[in-house]
Parts: sequence; C-alpha cells; structure tokens
Amino acid sequence: MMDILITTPYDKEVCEIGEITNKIISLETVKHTKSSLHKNRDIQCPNKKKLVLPGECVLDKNDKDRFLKGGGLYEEDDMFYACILGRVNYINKLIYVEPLKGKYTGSVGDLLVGKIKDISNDKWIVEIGSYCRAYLSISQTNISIFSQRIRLYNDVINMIHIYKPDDIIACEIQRISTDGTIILHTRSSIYGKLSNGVLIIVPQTLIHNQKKHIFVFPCNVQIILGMNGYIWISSPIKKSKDTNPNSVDQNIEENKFEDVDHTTRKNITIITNIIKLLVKYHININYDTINKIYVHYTSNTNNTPSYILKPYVADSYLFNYIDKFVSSNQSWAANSTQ
Amino acid sequence: MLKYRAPLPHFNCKSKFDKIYEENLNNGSFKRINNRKNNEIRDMFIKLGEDENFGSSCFYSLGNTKILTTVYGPNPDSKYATYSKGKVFLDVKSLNINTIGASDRQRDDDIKSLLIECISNIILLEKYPQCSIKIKCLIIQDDGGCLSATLTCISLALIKAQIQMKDIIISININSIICPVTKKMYHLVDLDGMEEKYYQSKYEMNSITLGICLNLKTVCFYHGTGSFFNSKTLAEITSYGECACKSLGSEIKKVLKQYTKKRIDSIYQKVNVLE
Repeated sequence: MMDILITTPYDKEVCEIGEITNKIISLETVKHTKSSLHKNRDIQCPNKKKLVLPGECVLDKNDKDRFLKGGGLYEEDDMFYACILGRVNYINKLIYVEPLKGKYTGSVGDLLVGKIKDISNDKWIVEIGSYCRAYLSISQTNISIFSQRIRLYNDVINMIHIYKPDDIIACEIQRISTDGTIILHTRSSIYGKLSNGVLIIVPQTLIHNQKKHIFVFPCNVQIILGMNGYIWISSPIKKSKDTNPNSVDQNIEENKFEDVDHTTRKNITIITNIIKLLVKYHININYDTINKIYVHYTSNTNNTPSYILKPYVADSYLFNYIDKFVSSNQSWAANSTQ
Repeated sequence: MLKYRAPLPHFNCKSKFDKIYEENLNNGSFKRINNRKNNEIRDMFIKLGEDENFGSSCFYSLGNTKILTTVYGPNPDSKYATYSKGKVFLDVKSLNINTIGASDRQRDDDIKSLLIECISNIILLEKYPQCSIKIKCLIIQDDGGCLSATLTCISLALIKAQIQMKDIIISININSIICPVTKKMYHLVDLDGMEEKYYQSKYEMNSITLGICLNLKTVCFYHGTGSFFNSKTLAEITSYGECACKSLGSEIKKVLKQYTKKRIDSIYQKVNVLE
C-alpha cells in the first residue's frame, strides 16, 4: 500500500466560488422579493437585457411558472437555460434570448430575394441564406398571361424556360412546414425574375421589417430589400398602366433584359457602395438613410462612385449625417419640452 | 598552442534539469522544470472571427499549442442528415512536421470519434433537422495538451457561430506523477511538450484529458493514458481537474462577456443614434 500525500491548490478557489454563488443567490432572492411588491408582476423580469452564454440559467423554478419559454432557451431539471449567446428579452409572458447574429429563420409573409439553385421534379430549390431548405413549386408561379389553369406535364418539362439555375428571383414565404421547410410563391406581378441590376448580401439583422421593401429612388434606381439580407439594386421595372396585381404584366414579360444607360449604372454603383458602407459600420439599412447619404454625396459632382469606400471619406460622410440627425433630434426634443 | 584550447567542464558538472531533479529528491517539495507552479496554466490567447463564406472561426493558443477551428453551417443537407436531427462532421488536420515517429492511426481515429460524440451531444441537433454542421480543426503547433485545446477551441467556435448548444465545454490536461524515492504523488496542470517528454522518462506518469460543461456541472469528455490508475487516484485526479476546469472556464466566460458587451455597446450606440 502506497503512502500518498495529496494537496489540491484549488481548495481556496472552490471556497471563493461557493461564496460568490451564495452572494449571487441572495442578491437574486432580494431582487425577486422586491419584484413581488409590484402589483403588475409581468412588468418585472428578473434577467432583462442580461448577456447570457450557452448554458447559463435564465430562469429557475421560482420564476419559471410566470413565463413561457421562447426561442434560444431549453428546459432541463425544471430550469430554463440559454442555448445561444445573446440577450434575454421578454414580451408579456414570453421570454426568449435574442441572438446577436445569426442566419435567417423564415416568417410567413416575408419578402425575400433568392437564387435558384436547382430543379427537382416540379420544384425549384432556392438558396435564401437560411439553414432551412426553400422550395418554389411550379403551381406557385404565374406561367402565362392567362393564369389560373391546371399545370400540365408539358409545363413541368418546360420549367427550365421559366427560371433556370443561377437566376435571381423575388418571392414571398407562403408557408413553413413542420419540418422547417420553407414554401415560397411568386404569385404577383412584383415578384418573379429580377434583371438589370446587382445583388449584394448583407447580414439579415440589419434589415428590419417594414411596410414596403421595394423602393424607387429619384435617381431612377430601384432597390428591393429582402428580409434574408439579399438586396437587389437595379433599374426600375417598367409597368403598364392598367394591371391586375394578381396576374402577369405583359410589359414586364417583354422587357426582361435591356440596356441600362451609363447614368443609371453609375447611380446603381453609388448606392451599392453606400450600402456596403452601412454594412461595414453595422448601421440599419432603410430607404431614408440611403437616400440622404446619396443626395449628400452626389451634390459634389467630382465624386466618383468608388470614392466613398475610402475610410476617411466614409467617416466624414457618415459622421456628418449622424451630426445632422442628432441636432434635428435635439431640436425636436426641445420643441416637445416647450 | 596548449593554452588556446577550449576549457572542458569539470568532472561532476550537472545540467539544469539534473539539478532540479536532485533538489526534488532531497527536499520534500516538487519543482517544475519551467518554473511554473503545479496549478499554473500557460498563457492563453483567444480570437473569434468570421470569414466570407458565412462561417465562424476561433483561434486558440495555450502557450505554444495553437489551434484554429472553423465552423460552417448549419446548411441544408439531404444526403447525410436524418429527417429529425442534424449531423456533425469533424475534420482534424495537423501541421506538425517534426513528429518523432509515426503517429498511431487507430488511436487518432478513436479520439476523433470521441470528439464527434461529445460535440454531437452538446449541440441541440433536434433544432436543426435535415442540416449538417461542418467543423474543421487545424492544429498549427502542438506543444502538449493538444486534445484539450482542440475541444475548447471547437466549443468557442460554435458559440461564435450562434449554434444552439447546451453549454460551453472547457477542457484541460492533468498529469500525475509519482516520485520513485518518496512515493509521493503530484498533480501537474497543463504540461508542455518538453515537460511531457522529460517526466515520462524520469517518473511514472498518468495523463488525463477532462472536459466539463461549465454551468451544468457535468463531465462531457474523459480520456486518459497511464499505468497506475485505481479508484482512489482517479477520484483525486478528477476532482483536481474539475477545479482547474472551473477556474479556467470562469476566466474564459468573464473575458468573453466583457468582449461581447463592449462590442454590442459600440454597435448599438450607432444604431440608436441613427434610429
């Protein structure tokens, strides 16, 4: 039998960790007691806006009964743990962890810009930058001027002529099935194949949900802000005057590819670079921001389209815009106080 | 010409290591050959980044052991993934070109399957049906403790990739040696390559790689080699390693939160101004 002498140098640290844990528990108990004094108990969430790592306890059994489990959480041993790096947030009784950055997860009704990847049977496989697979069925597209007819076998054979691989399309999410598959549709004249422009991909957290996602700038440039972070910048689509929105526009069908003049190309390039600039500084992308920077930038006729991407030029235009916004905001606040 | 000859060392000269060895034998204490304490970890460096293919990466160095991990995905995969769960693919490559002797292929495959099983159980694969997650590890430099550094690096890369997982994995390497004269057992944390070779030749040594979930307080990875394992020594080594992992994990968690909070505040400051 060996005579073994063991010392563990971490004994002090284990005691310290225990003491810290006891302090944290007591503080949270006091917090919980304080929150129970409020009449409306739903106002107080114990861990609001707290940054959590995977595995951290968000709600224990004392608070678990008052909340519903949302995204970014999992339940184990009667407690809610976070499973992503994010911030705790809540809506009424729903508590969830808001991720800092992530891939696009679909919502029904979102306008998307996607890329046709493949054709299989009677569906197109669309790449939308998500981890769910996305399908566009032939019965969800408009295939002729006289719509609303049964799809025949010849239509399935001729799918390559409607959308071929590597086409860029605008579409909408119709349904999300139970296994996470996204079903798309293009049953409108504003959806369909996109042409005469460029596609840029930005993080999808910079594009927020709003009423409109298709804008036309005064400089004859159209922009489509897809909810999945894909942005299409092109010359505007020509439309006939009397058009049923649920059918195919004949002028759109006939004017697919056309020559874009030099001025419009330059404007498309400037707006593309402005969006790249906003992405670099993690600023939300919307029409007003882009339009203001564009007007301010093109007031000087000597500026070339790529000049805005130089660091000092970008900083000066952005901070000039921010200063204007802050000053106008302060004046508005001053007026409200008066 | 005799006076220009180089002087020879005297007959009882001892090297630095031999001096430390004799000092350890004479005294009751133990001293490491690189002047670290028994519970001291090497310098740690972590860098999280992302590349242009929507992947996330982590560079993790512990002394001279350097690991680079890239995580791609989750991506739709109709070929390998099952209907209700995702699947994890792991690829480990080494740039170590000064290996003495050929490495054991069978042992590497066993360790790789252990790693895949560990990571597959940590990631919530039920939330990614019909998807696959590809993890690529590149061992840039191996100076001891390579397996534990790889596991920690994979865990940090998965956090950066925003993949839903149960907990952070913190892994560390513990070596136990027995002094042949005094029969005392010493536990050393995080040996480097030179120490491993030296102690293996001088003493009888056990080596344990322990990975724990930091907040759930469970062991998720356990791998060991050695010759004098029994229940008593295993319990002591495991508790020692658990304390070391907790200390390392609390430090990593604190630094990661500070870094992320600073980054969030700088981003949200601009966003709030514009909105």
